[in-house]
Amino acid sequence: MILDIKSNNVPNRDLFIPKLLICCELVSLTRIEYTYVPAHNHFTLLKLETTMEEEKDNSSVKSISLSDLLHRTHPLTGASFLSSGHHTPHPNPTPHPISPQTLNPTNILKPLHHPSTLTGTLTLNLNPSSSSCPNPTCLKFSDQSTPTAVCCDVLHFNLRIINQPIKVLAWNFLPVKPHGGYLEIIKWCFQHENISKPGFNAFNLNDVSQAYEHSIVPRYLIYGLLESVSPVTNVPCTVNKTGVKSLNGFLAEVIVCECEFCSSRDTVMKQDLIECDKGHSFLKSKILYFCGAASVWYPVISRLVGGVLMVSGMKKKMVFIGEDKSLMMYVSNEKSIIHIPKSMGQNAISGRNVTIRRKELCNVYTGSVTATYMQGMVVELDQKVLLLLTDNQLTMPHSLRIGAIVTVRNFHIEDPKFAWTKVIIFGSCYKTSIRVNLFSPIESGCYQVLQSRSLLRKFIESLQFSARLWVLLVVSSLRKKFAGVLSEMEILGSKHMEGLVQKYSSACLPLSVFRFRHGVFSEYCLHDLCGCGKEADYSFPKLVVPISNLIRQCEDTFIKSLHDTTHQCSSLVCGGRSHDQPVRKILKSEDLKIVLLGNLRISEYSGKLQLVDSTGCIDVVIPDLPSVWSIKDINELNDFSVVMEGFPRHLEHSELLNNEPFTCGNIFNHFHLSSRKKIKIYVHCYIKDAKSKNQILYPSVDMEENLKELESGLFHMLLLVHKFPVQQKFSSDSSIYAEAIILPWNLVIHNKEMDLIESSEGCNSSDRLKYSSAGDKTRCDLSCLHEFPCSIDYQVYSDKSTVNLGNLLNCTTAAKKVLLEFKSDSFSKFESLRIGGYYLVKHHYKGLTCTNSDKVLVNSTSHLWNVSFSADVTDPTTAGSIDGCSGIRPDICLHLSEDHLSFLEVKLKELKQDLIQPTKSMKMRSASTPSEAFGASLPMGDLIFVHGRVVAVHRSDQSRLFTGLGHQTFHGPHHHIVRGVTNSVCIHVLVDHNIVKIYSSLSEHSYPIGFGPGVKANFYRVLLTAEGGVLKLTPASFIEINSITVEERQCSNELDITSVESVVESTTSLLTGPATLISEMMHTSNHKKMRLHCRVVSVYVLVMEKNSEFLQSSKVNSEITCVKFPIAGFIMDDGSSSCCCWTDNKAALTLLSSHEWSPNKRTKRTLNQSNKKPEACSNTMSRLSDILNQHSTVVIKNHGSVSDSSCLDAAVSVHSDGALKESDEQFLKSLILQACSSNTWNVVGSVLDSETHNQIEQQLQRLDLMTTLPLVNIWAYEVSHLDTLNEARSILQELIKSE
Amino acid sequence: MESLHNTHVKLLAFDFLSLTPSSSSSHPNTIYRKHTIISRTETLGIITSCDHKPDRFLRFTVDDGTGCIPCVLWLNQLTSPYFSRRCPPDVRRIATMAREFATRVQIGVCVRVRGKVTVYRGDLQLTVGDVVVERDPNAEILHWLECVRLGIKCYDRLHA
Repeated sequence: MILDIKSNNVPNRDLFIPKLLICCELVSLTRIEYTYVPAHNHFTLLKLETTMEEEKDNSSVKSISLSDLLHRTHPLTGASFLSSGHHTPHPNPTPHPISPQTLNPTNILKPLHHPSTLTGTLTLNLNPSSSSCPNPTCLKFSDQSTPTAVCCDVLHFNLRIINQPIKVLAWNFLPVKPHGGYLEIIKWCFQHENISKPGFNAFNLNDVSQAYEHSIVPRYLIYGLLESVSPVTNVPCTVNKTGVKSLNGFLAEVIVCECEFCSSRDTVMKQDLIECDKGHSFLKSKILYFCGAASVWYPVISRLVGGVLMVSGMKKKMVFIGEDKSLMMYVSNEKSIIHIPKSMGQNAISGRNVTIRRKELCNVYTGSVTATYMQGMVVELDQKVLLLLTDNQLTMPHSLRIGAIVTVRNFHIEDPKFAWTKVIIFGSCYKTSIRVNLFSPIESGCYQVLQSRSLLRKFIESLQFSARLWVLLVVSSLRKKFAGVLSEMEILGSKHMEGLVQKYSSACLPLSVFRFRHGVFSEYCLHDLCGCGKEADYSFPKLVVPISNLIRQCEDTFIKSLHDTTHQCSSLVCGGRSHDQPVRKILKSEDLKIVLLGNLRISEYSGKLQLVDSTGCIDVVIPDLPSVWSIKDINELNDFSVVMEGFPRHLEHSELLNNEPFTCGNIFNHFHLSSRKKIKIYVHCYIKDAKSKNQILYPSVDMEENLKELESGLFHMLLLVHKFPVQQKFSSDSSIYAEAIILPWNLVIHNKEMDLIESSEGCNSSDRLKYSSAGDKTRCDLSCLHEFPCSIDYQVYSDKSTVNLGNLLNCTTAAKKVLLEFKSDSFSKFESLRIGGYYLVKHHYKGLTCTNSDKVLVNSTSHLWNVSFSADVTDPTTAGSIDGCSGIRPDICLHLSEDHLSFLEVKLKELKQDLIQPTKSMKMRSASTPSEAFGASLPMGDLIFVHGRVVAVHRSDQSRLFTGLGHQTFHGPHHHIVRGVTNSVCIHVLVDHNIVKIYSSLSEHSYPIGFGPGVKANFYRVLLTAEGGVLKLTPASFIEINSITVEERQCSNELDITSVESVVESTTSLLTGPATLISEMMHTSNHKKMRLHCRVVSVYVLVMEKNSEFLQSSKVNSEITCVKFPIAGFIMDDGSSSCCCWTDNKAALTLLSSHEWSPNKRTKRTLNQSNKKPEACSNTMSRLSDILNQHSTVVIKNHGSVSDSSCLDAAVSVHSDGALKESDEQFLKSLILQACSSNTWNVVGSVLDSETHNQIEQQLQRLDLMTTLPLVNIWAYEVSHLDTLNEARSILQELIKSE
Repeated sequence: MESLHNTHVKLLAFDFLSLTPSSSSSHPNTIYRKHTIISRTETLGIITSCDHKPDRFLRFTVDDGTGCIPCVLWLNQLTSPYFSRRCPPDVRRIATMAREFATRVQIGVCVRVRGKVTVYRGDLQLTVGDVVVERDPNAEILHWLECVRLGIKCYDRLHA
């Protein structure tokens, strides 16, 4: 046989070759040519040349002995020279040179160079207890060369073979340790031809001796179809008074026909009833019990399943099988005989895959073994079915190897309906049997019986089939995930101890999947009553996936989604240039139906937080990372989102993986993750949120020690002011810094036992403190002004809550600023710190805060606990609280009385105002910015805090900033050059409904994981440059992500533009065509939003009011201005016609050309009458503010021409008693004039509907103005700068189209 | 049919220069573009010449690539009898704005000019209403395209 396999890398070859061999019935193959079609994942046979070689000359056939085989260490086959006398020779034999090199040595059994036969005897294993192989299905083969018999399996089994010398013509031999080897007999014949002739036709069951027909007196003849055989089981039974002896035995079910013909012994013995079809009805089931010495017949009887069985001499006995149930059985005895049926045709392979479901059991399935997993507990058939062989009692033949063709009988078919993959389960029970029809030609290992009685094995056996498969997946997954982290014992458990798998699985599985096991006897005889194979209806727990599988799955999903949909509109226009925006896809854990287990760590390479297991790592964003966490903890993430981000352009040529990473095969097998694609993948989740069910599954020991430290002692309180980002080049010996303020507040936690003693002595806690810390006095002044009793509630763990008593001390020392340094061993501590959070640090001689140094090193042993304060009241809804970082559950909660809490609140507020506000403390502004600042010197300005939703992030370069920046920007930097920003990144942040642009030239490391469009983020210490009001990130700026929006930012064309928030998107969405002409609007009756491109000609009416919100707002960067515009009407012109554009607040401010005004500082300066623009501008907003402070409401009405600004006849009136000053009036009028000579605007608006029209009419009437003008009246929703290039492109396209 | 009377019609220079003043003596200041009355216009281009008479006027030309439009920016608001009827602060403010516009007019600068179409000594000119400096280089192209689009979609249809 020559298999000319051209490529060794072809998948499915293992499946292909055995099938070919079946096709050819193991004839001598000389050449097989085939092609592999990757798209369909199958082979196509091109050419198959078979040369029916003449039977070899007897002289070339060599005899090989068993001892010779046993000395070989490699599996080999004696089937390559197999010839068959039944085949006619090929008419045109085309001999091909035999070249062993063409065979794949690793996969196909190695052939001998010459035909070899074995001669020996096939016997039953008469003494299974002393045999080295415990498998009861094995037959034994022995020859004269060695006293040891090897296990064997035989095709074309014939009862007559037992105890007869045979010649093995074709075979496979697989060395097996420790019992020598395993022989697969493919072709055989009797050594002495006369034996095949009927001389004997029966065996005595007890002594395996041959019996002859004439000597038989058949009693209780049972003749029928053998339905099933139970495993060999051991029954303890009393033999005599001296003791208990156990009895081996097995059960068999035979279906008999009760017709008159069949009941007659004589006719039965003479004729094969089943062969002569005379309308028998095989319905009556009889149970046979082969016990004691007869149990050695198990290998024979089990091979006859599906065929005919004829036994006689059995004793009819009533057998009790427990729980008051008894059954009539035919029990073997010393007179029992097994007859050899006349026809041997019954053993032929049954028709393939005729699966008939009978009494919950499926009849038969034939397929090839494509894989075995979990030490043979899971056998994959035909790459689509998983056969579960999890019962310890079940024994399968060794020949159940990959590549073998097998027939499975009596199994349960189940569809587990797993969300992550499609699979069909064949569940095995005590009735299931497997017969190998063709041996595998592949060098795959023997099927070994797993003799394990661990708790886990028992646990698995007690489950329903689908749940068994799920637990096996968990076992495989956890073993892969925690190899090297946890020992096998810790994962799997032992005979007496539950492992991680069992603990986890039993917590996840519902009670309905557990079933009580009754033992072989009950379950075999009362199969239907025992509930075997009963499907429970419930949703399955989630799949535990190795991280490597998850990453590949996400990559595939992402690429697939890119292939499926076109993402053409994912670009953003900024600065007159379109920027590619990454496509983001978010997969939620509830859709994936998976759970992640792993350790958290800080990456040594990137300094970022990751979830790791032994298979890989994935970046994680955990906004509420607890202060106390260890890299040794195993975290369970049930509720999370996997965010994938990538540029479609980079992934155009990415190919999809052929197989799915979440299939059972890929979970069971080693899954290799080849090079990662250019997709940013990270997990976003919350840990402390109780609803999320994300928890520490397997806490490491040092967590408990942490709590001990909290039990008593003195603690200092810190306020974290700032965190500095990771430096450009991250390495393991680099440091990260954070800035904190040591507050003059200390906490004393009482040791409960000490309290008892000291309260009896009558000394207070501060006295004790002075006493106990006398040695530290020089470093820490611990004297205090006030002392507040409080209760301390530890919430380090979600399941544990301990309350302790203590005192909060207000100390005399002043607050001090310190720089905290974190080395690589304590990066985990840095990661969990939140800016603005309060932290407790234990007072210690060499403690963090007890030194005089301004810079302290936080090492791995120092702990920082997050703390919050709340009022100690019964009703928590009315309780006030001080919480540094809102939304994050603290580790410790201090309960104070309401008075004390408000005192603390006031004190902390004072401290913050004096010390902490970065805008004050970190002021870098120089009063006179010299013009020399252009150049190498650092930019000047204020450091401010920005909080908002990131709308877009794109690359930008300095030259782009010259030209008009497309949209509304922070105080319109479009006339300014941003110095020092080269090759930078532009971040669009939505702050209070306004888009603010932040420029950054920082390295990639400075951005946290997951930073991109769709995140809500805090930007700390952003530089607002002194000249031009441009926001820039500095190397000290820190970005903190609060949340990642789950909504996918799909094609902007589909976005609902009514959302005021989506400024960028909506502007883009209306960019698809050129702006609408006002003359066109005149004729439309609909109120659809349209985009206009027009200029202010004149102002019709403008109402200004003082903005009360402005007074309340304290944020410097807030877009809230001191003026609000309840209504404003502008006359606009676009060249086609004029319209009256009504609008209010923000849009009105824009149309007034407020970008030409100064930043809205609330600084009071005297009005400079000079005409020089810079000074005038710097005063505009404050001047307006001053006017409105006096008059609260100012109305400007135009009584003159609405088409000529020079003819403007504006009347300014005020709603207050005092008259408006002449200078103020002129100032207001000049604002109007300025607005009339401004640039072209991009206005998104719609024709007024009747309701809005009426409202405006009413407002105008109150202002004593005539009704709306005889022009097109529109309402402007948004006003922004025009993107000239895109507008020009659109017009050009329209013109070309109309040509 | 709506008129373009109060609209700032966007015209390219060659189009502007081909406007026809009314021949009738009763309406000497009426300007027609193919039978449509036009009074105001907007142009965009590079300033190619400049003639400044302080406190009187600033005469300049705007070249948009298709021709040159002569423009006049009046700076005599404080002395002209035309403004004497209006209240002095308003006149002062208008004068200030005009001076502000005058500072923007410099040779080589790209400007957007709006104003009235007038005839001076038989020649068409633009009496400036406001001047805005255009820093965006794409604005010029956009202006050309807008003129073409408006011509096709709006102006030509009015007399069609």
